[in-house]
Amino acid sequence: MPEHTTTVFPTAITVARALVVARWLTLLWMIGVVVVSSEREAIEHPLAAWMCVAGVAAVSGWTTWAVRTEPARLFRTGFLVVEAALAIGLSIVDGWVFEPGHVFEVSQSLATQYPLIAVVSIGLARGPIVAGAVGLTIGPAEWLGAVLNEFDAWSARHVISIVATSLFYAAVGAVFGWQAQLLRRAEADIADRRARDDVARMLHDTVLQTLALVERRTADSDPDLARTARDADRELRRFIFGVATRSDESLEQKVRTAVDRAAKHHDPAHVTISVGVLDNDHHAPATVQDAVAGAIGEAVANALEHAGAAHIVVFVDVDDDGTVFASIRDDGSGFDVDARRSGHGVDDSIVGRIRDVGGRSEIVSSPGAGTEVRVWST
Amino acid sequence: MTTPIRIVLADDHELMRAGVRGELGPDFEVVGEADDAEGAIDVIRARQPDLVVSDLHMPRGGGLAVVEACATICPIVILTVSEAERDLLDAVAAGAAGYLVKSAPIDEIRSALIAAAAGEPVFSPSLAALVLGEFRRLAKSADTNPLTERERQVLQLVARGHTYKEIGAELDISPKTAENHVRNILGKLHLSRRSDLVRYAVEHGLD
Repeated sequence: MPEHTTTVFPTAITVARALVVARWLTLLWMIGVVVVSSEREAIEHPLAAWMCVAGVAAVSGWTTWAVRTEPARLFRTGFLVVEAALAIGLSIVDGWVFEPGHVFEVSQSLATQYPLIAVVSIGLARGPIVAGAVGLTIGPAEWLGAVLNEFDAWSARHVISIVATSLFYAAVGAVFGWQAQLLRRAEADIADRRARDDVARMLHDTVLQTLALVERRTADSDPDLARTARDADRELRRFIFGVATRSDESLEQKVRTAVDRAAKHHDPAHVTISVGVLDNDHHAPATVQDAVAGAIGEAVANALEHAGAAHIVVFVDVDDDGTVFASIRDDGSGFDVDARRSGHGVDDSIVGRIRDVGGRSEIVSSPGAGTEVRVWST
Repeated sequence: MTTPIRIVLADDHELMRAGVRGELGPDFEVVGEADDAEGAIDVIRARQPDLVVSDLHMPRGGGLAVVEACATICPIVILTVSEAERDLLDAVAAGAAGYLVKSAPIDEIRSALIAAAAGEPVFSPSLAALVLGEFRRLAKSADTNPLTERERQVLQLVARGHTYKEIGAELDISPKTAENHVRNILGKLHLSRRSDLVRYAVEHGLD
């Protein structure tokens, strides 16, 4: 999993800092245990005990330095191996340094906290599986420690105790690693979105403004350039709004795409198309949304091709019960609704489409007064 | 021809200002320009124009700051690239007379500016849709809808592209009454936004 070594998400550094503090506290605790146990003459190998303390002190010191200078070091494999080795080593040596009979007694030991720190630290850097696996090794290490402690009165209770120890550390490592993974993903998402929003805003403020100007200034003098600018404007806008919103298309996006597609080959200098979509939380089924967007596209295409409209207004509203209402209005030539019953695109492409999803439609028009197509999804 | 409309242009893009200035025609006289919000506020206070055309996104506050500071001096029309923006609604709620999309044909921009200078709200269909959505959101959070049924009807007809005249005919009222409804709706938007803020401040213990 090479990407882990390079990506240290912000919260991970905070946790790494907390772990450094925890290491120093552990060190103090261990010193206390060794001193008190020495007074009680419970330690058989004092040198080894102090070496354990020295090991933890060395790691504490090094991690303090690392977290202040280059925290990424704390997430590299080399350090994580040292961390795991120290946890396992302490668990083994813990049995050996004390007098025989120490293990399984209710007395202080050297290796309770450090394995906890190790599995959290590994979980943070490598996720639940690796941390869980390291956690599992703590039980067997303690068993080895017990053997070194000359413990031989094995019973089911002791076996259960060791299995429980393994499961405990494995669970801590796995749960923490899992949470760290979720956090990492969330923070990556946020950073990603922020970067995209920045790009979108920048394009919006600079390129789109310029395109709008080019489009207008060349509308009469150079219609081809105006059209190119318009197309670039549309594509860019779709891209910006596409990436700045959720990936699954909303009703508004579907409507805007349908309108853009219908208007693609028309000179923007002579027609303005305004689109207002009032989408609320009561989503209509996807088939209904597609049918409405399709009908809107057809109505806009009709207005552009046959009516010679200068303004087209598309309005879409979603009711509290999920019913979609759409109105497509143009100020074009209009027609006599009664005189033209069928044979025209209107019937199949709009009325039929809406009827297929159980909706109804209405066309209001008269010669010279523009046209309004209204559709309801139920 | 009567006296030209004295206008202030605020846009951080020199090119855009030059474009608008060049195409306004003899009905307008540009009496001041600014490339950021603070500069615009100074120029507007000094020149007391008939109308302001301000970009939405500008350094030091943007169009919203200009509207907040100068909406009582003269009508302010916001120029924007995209009409689907929340900031735009904020500006309108703060008292902007309306907005224009930068890609609109120049004839339309011209006639909209003349209407705005005469005190008419430049209220386009898509802005009406945005405002309708905003009131619906407000109604959900405050369990009373500040709009009357008639106002809602008027707003929906504007959103569907009807002119004041057509709305008048459809609802059996005069076009002037339809326009007044729109003015009231904008006033309510302004008020509800403010009471929203007050409520928020009280709930969160801010002064």
